[in-house]
Amino acid sequence: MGCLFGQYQYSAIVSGESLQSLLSAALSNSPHALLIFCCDESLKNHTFLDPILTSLQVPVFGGVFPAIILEGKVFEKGIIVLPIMTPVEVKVFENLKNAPTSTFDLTNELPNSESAIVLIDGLSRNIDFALNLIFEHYGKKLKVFGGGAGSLSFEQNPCLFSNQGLLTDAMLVAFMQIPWDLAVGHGWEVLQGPFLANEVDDNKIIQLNFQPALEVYENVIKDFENKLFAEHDFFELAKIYPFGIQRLDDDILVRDPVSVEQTSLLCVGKVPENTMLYILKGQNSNLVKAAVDSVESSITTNFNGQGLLFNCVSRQLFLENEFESELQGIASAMGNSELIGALVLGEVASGESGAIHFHNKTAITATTKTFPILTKELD
Amino acid sequence: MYSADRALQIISIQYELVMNIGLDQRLENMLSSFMQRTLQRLSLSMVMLVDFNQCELTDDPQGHTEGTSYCFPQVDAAHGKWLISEAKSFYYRLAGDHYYIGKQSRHSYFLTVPQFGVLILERESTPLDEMILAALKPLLVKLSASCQACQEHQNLIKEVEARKLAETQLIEQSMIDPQSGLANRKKFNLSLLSALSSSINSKEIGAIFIFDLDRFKVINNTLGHEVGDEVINILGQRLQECMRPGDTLARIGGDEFALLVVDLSLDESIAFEKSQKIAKKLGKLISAPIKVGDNVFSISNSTGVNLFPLDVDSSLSMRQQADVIVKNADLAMNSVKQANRNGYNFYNKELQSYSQRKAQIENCLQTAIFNNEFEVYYQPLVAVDGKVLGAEALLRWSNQSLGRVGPDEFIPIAEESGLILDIGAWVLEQVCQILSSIASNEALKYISVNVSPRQFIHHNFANDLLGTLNKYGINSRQIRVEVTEGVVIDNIDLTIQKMRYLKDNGVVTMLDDFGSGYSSLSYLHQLPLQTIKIDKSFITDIEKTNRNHVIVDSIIDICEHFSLECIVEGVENCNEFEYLATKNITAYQGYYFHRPMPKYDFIALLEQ
Repeated sequence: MGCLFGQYQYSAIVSGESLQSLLSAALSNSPHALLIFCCDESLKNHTFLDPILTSLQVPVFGGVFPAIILEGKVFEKGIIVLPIMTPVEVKVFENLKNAPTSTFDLTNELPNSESAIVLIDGLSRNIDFALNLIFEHYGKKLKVFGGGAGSLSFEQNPCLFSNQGLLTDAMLVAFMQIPWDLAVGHGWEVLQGPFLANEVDDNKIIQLNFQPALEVYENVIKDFENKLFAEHDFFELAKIYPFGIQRLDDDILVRDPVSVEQTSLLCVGKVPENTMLYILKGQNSNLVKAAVDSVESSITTNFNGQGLLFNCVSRQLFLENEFESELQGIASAMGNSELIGALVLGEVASGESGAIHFHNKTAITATTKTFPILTKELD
Repeated sequence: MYSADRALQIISIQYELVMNIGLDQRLENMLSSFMQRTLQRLSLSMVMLVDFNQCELTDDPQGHTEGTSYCFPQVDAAHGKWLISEAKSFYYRLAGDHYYIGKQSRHSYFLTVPQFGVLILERESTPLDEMILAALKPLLVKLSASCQACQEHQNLIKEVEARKLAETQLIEQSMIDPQSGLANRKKFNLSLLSALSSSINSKEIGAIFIFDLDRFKVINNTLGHEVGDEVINILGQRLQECMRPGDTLARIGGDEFALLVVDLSLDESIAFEKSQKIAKKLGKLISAPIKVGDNVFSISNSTGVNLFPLDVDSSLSMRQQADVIVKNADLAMNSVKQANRNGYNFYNKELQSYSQRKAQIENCLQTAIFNNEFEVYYQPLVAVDGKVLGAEALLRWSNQSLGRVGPDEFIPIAEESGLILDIGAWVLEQVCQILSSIASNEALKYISVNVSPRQFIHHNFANDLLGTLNKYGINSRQIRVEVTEGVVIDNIDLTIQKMRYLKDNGVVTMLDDFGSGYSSLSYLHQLPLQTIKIDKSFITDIEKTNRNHVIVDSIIDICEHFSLECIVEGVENCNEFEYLATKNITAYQGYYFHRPMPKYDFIALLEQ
C-alpha cells in the first residue's frame, strides 16, 4: 500500500528556472501526473509557463489561486508541485462561455474511474452547467471535488495549468481510480429571508422579491451593520453576508456576492431562477467547528493520512486570524498529516445524492483511502 | 422546523419547480431543465420520466410497449430497465398516484404524470416525506400538459419537415430527366443562372456546350425507341462520369444535351482553349462505340459552345442574359449542323449577324402573303424525248427591303416559325388555280408541290389538301406531293399512315432528294410510295464520276424492284442527259431542259 502523493516540491519564487527545478525534482519519483498549485501574487508574468507545460511528458493539472495551503499554513506567494503516484487522465474543456451550445466529450479512457479532481476557472459562466454535464454522464459513481481558480481581483486571467499551457475560461477534470472521502462544511446560518430570486442570469442576481437585488440586499445589511455600500468597499461588507440557497434536507448552499453590476449582484456560481435565497451570517467559532466536524465525521478507518483541502478564500478573509485555527483543526482531524491545498474561488464537491455542487464560503476536505501503489513504468 | 417555515419551504419548492416546467418547446430540453432543478432542489440522486403517452396499447398490459424514458443523470442499463419495468407496471395497473420502493439505502418513488407517464425520483439515505410528495402532485398535472404540448409541437415540426422533404423531393424530381437520370432543362437553366451570377462576381469565365447527336432519329426509327433510349442512357452515364464537381450535364431534348462548365479561367484565351479541349473530349466520348444488344453504334455530334459572361448585354436581367447565352450556343450548334455536322463551333459575331437576318426574314415572312410577295415558278419534268410530263412548283420570294430571298434561306425559317403552313396552303391554291386554267392540256399529267415536315405531320394536312383539290375541281392525279427523307424519319408510322391515305385518295407521294439524307433502305419497302427523285448531287457530272454511276444505277435498280417511278433532277448538260437517257428513268428535270419559270411562261410552254 502506498501514498497518493509523492514528496511535494515548493518554491517561494515563481520563475521558469524555479519551476523547471521543481518539476525535475518531482519527476524524479516517476509520478503518473503532476498537480500544481500556484499563488496569484507570484505569477505576474506567465509567458514562460506555456513552453514548460506543453513539453511535459506526464499529465499535468493545476491552478492559480489567491493562496496555497502547505503543512497547515497559508502561503500567499510561491508554487507547489505535487507528484501523483496513481494513474490520472486529465480532460480539458475550454470556452465554458459557450458550453450550452458546445459538445463536450466526457468519456475518459481510464478504466474504473472512481473519482475526479475538478479545477475550473472560478470566474467563468456556466460552471454549474459544466458540473452538471459530468454528473449527467457519470452519475453518482464518480466522486468529484475541487475548486475554482482565479484571482481575488476578480479579473478573468489564465489560471489553469494543463499540458496545453495556461488556460482561461476552462475546466480540467482529472480522473483517478482511487476512492476519496469528502468532508463539506461551512457553518453559515440564516440571518434573514427567504427572498425570491425572481430574475437571475446565471451568476447574476438581478431582482429579489421583484425589486433590484442590490437595493434589497443593502437594506438588510443596513439593518444589521448600519453601513452603506456607497461608503464601504462592497466585498468588505458582502463577505460577511453571503446568500444561501435552501435545499430540502442538505446543508444550505452558500453563494458569495463578490461585486455589483448596476443594481445586480454578481456571485461566484450560479443562482437558479425562482429559487428562495436567504441572507446568511456567520460566527467564527461556528464556521471553524463546521469545517473541522465535517472532516472528523468523514474520516474512515482506512484513511491513509493524505488529503487535499479546497477552502474558500472568503472564509479566510472572514475568519482572518482564526482561519489558522480552522486549518489546524482540519489537520488535527486528519491525524496531523501534511495538509496541502488552496484557497479557492468556489468549491466543488459531490453531494450525498451524487449531484455535484459548486459551493462558496465552504471548506472541502478530500481524504484518501489506502490503495495499491502503482508505479509508473519508465519508457 | 417550525410549521411556518415548513409551509414556506413547500411553497418555495412548488414555486421553483413549477416555474421550471415548460421552459422549452423541445421535450428533451424542457425535461432536462425540469429534472435537473428537481434533482437539486429535492437532493435526489436520479430523476427519470417514462413517457407512455405515445405507446401502442394492447389488450394485455404486458404487451404494451416500453415507453420512452428521459433520465438525469444516466443510470446503468440494468437499473434503468428495472425502473422502466416498475413504472410500466405501476402506470397500467392504475394503483393510486404514487408508489414507493425502498431498497437498502435507496428510496424510489413512482409518481403518476396524468395521461402521460411516470415520474421516478430516487434518493439516497433519507426518504422524502409525504408532505413533499403531496406538494409535487399539482405540478405533475402541469408537467403532463407541458409534455403533451411539446410532443404536439414536435409532431407538428415533424409533419412540416416531412412536408418540406416531400416538396424538396418533388422539386428535385422535377429537375431530373426521368429517362437518363441527368438534369433536365429546368435544372440546367437554374444552374446556369447561378453560375452566371457567380461568374459576374468572380470574373471567372464559364462555358456552355449545347450538343445533339447527329442522325439519332435513324436509330429510333429503324431499331426502335428502346434501343434509342438505351443509347441515350449509356451516353449520359459515360459523360456524367467525366464531370467535375460543380459542372452540370443536362438532357434538354430527345437527343439534345447541354453541359455547363464553370470557373474555366479569368483569362478569356485560356478559357477558350479549355473549352476547345472539352468540346473535343465530348466528341471523343460520344463517338466511342456504344453497344446495345447486337448493335454497335458510333455517333457523331454537333456542338455549339458559348463562353460567359462575355458578350452579354449587362442591361439585361440575369434570366434574359442566361437565355441569350443558351440561344447563342444554339446558334453555334445549328451552324455546325448546317455545315457538315460532327464538330463544334463557338458562338461569334458572324453568327449573330446570321441570327439577326434570320429574325428579319421571319418578320418579313409574316406579311409576305398579304403583300403578294410570293410567286410560284414551275420547272417542267420531261420524258426522255423532251416532252413535258409534269412540273414541280417552286416558290420564289421578293421582298421590298430584303430583295430576292432564296428558298434555301427562307423555307427553313418558315418551317421553324410555323409560317410554312400558311405558305404551303397558298402554294397549293396557286397550283390548283393554274391546273384549273389549263385543264384542257392533256400532255401535263401533274404538278408536284413540296411539302415540309411540319406541313406533312399537321393533323389536317391530307384533308386540307383534298379539300383544296375539291374546291378547284382538280383530279387528285394531277397533284403530287414531294416529301424529303426528313419527313419519313421524323415519324415513320405517321408517314406511312398519311401516304396510304393520300394514295387511297389518288394522290401520289414522291420521295424527294433521295440519297442525300438518311438513305436508309430499311424503311423504303414500308412506304406506300410511287416515285423517287434521285438527288441532284448524284447527277452532277455523272458521266465523269464512276462512284455516282454505281449509286444512281443502284437506286434505279431498287425502283425497278419496288415498281417505283424514278425521276432524276439537276440534269444540267447534254453529257449528263446522254448517260441517263439509256436508263430506266421516268422523267428528267433540270436546266438542260427547262429552268423554273413564271406561271405565264409555263402556260405558254404548254401551249406550244
